Amino acid sequence: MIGGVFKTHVGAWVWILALPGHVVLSALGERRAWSGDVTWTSGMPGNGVFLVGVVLAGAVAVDVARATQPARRHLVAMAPRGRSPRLLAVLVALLPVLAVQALVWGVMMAWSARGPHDFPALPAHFLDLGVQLLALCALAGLGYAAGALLGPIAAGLAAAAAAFALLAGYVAVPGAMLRPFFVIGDGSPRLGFVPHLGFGGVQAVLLLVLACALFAVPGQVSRTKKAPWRAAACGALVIGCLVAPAWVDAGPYRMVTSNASDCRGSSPVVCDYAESAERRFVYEESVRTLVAAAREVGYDSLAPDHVHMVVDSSPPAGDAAMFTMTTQSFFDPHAPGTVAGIIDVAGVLITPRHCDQLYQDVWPPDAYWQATDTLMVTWLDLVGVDRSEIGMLDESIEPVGPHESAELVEALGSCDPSLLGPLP
Amino acid sequence: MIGAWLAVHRTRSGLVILLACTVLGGAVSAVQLTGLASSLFPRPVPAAFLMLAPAAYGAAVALSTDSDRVLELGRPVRLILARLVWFAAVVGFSGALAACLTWFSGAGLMAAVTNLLWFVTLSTMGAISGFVSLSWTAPALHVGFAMLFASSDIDEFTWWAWILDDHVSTPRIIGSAASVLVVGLLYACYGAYDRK
Repeated sequence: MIGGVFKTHVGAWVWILALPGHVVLSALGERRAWSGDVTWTSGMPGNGVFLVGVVLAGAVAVDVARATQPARRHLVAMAPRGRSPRLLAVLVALLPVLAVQALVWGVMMAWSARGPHDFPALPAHFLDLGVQLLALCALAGLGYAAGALLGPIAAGLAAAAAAFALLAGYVAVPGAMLRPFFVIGDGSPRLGFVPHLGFGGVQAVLLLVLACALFAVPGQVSRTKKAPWRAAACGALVIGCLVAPAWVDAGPYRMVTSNASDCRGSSPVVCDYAESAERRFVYEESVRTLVAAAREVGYDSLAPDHVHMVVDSSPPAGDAAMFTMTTQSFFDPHAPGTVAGIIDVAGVLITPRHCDQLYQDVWPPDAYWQATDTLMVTWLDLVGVDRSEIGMLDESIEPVGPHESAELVEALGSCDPSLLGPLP
Repeated sequence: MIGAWLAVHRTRSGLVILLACTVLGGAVSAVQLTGLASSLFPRPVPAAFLMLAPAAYGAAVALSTDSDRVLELGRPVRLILARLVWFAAVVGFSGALAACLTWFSGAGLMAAVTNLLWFVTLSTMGAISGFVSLSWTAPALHVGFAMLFASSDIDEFTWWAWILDDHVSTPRIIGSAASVLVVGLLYACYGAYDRK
């Protein structure tokens, strides 16, 4: 029976071939994903649902439409008495798809766990998997409805076009009506942000209701003479599920509002958020390397006692202004301990993010870039990074001494208008 | 004979899909896509390019028959020649519609034609293997993957995303033409129908 199903159902094959292909291409795009340094998240298979799921919806539609043609009577015979053979057709098409999705997700998580860092927050990733599976059910429901109401020639294309229109609507109007699809493909943990489990839960419920409504539509449409209101109710439910999230005032992540209170070590003391523990390996080693090198040769201005992390919306002020890391700075970091990783961290530390001038429409003057590039070259020279590896810096810039470094740090820390330009 | 040939094939359904794609392509002719979600394209892509994939499905549908409706043409050589002529006619008609799309959108004619030939190749292979109603999946997957993984840097499209590139190279022309010739011969030998 199972062999017969795989001979006649193509939707499962589409997913079995397309999803691993998608994940491999995503991993190759990361370039360093195989090293284990990067946190593999449920976002990779989630992106598969987001884009290849369009094709799946169409394939399920064709499977369903073909299932009840005269030559497909084995499905009719397999269906329990009183049950729709079409529903059986879509179930046997959908179950292998869900299994493949869960398997790929499991491999991603296992690979992530073998990296040199803590495992990502499991409840959020389990919820993400649940949303992905329910989204697949909703896409299959879309295919089921199209396949049952149209012939096989038109059904696949219609379902794929409808699914693509939904996703294109999401891409074109971010944050608008199609929020149920938002968590999908956005499973990357961010420093300073924690998953919003309530938002994922709302999505899961909406996708479940959406899938049920779509599976109910064909049966109700065929009985419209008896109860037209049922078909109308199903249609209204579908539209309601798509529109309702517009009123859900939340996002997939919520910002950590507490102070960075998880402090470790000395010279410098590094303070960040307990919730960010799984990404700590990205920057802490580089921070200590940079500061130790500066302290050793007497560049005290480049050797702060404290390095704090803040979320982007609350830039620091006063003495703590310089040498502050922001959560979003490490959204796509290089591997820790590498030259690229050290350059990343040095760039983050010397950027005076507390200066309002940087957030105006006017680009900072050349003096600003001269100052930050000089500090970069100086600091990286202290840790022995070869000049040729830095790239994108003016070749004429030379390292400066401790006194000049201190002046530059002070000028940047005080948001000196001669460096950053006056506020409008 | 011509009337019988048209009746045996899904000419009407294929024509409807082809014309619908042309009309939709015309409707989005002014749209230039700059990226998909976080993936940015090196150069803007005319949205009309994307309508060529479902248009090729229309061509595959027009090339196919129901397996239980076979036109008796006697000698296989006559059948093979007739299928070749039919293939050339359908591809030529689709090419004319692709030319209309490029005229609407201002996209490169050769780029559109090579894309169409490649999509027709993929669709027709699906139809020859007995899955006419699913022959849109291969072009759709190629378009989807090309859009998602369009570029590894900001300068050029990756090699597998050549269907989004308005610039036409000689290998692209030769490859598309050769692939459609091969699939045309396969179609002439084996035909296209829905496996039951």
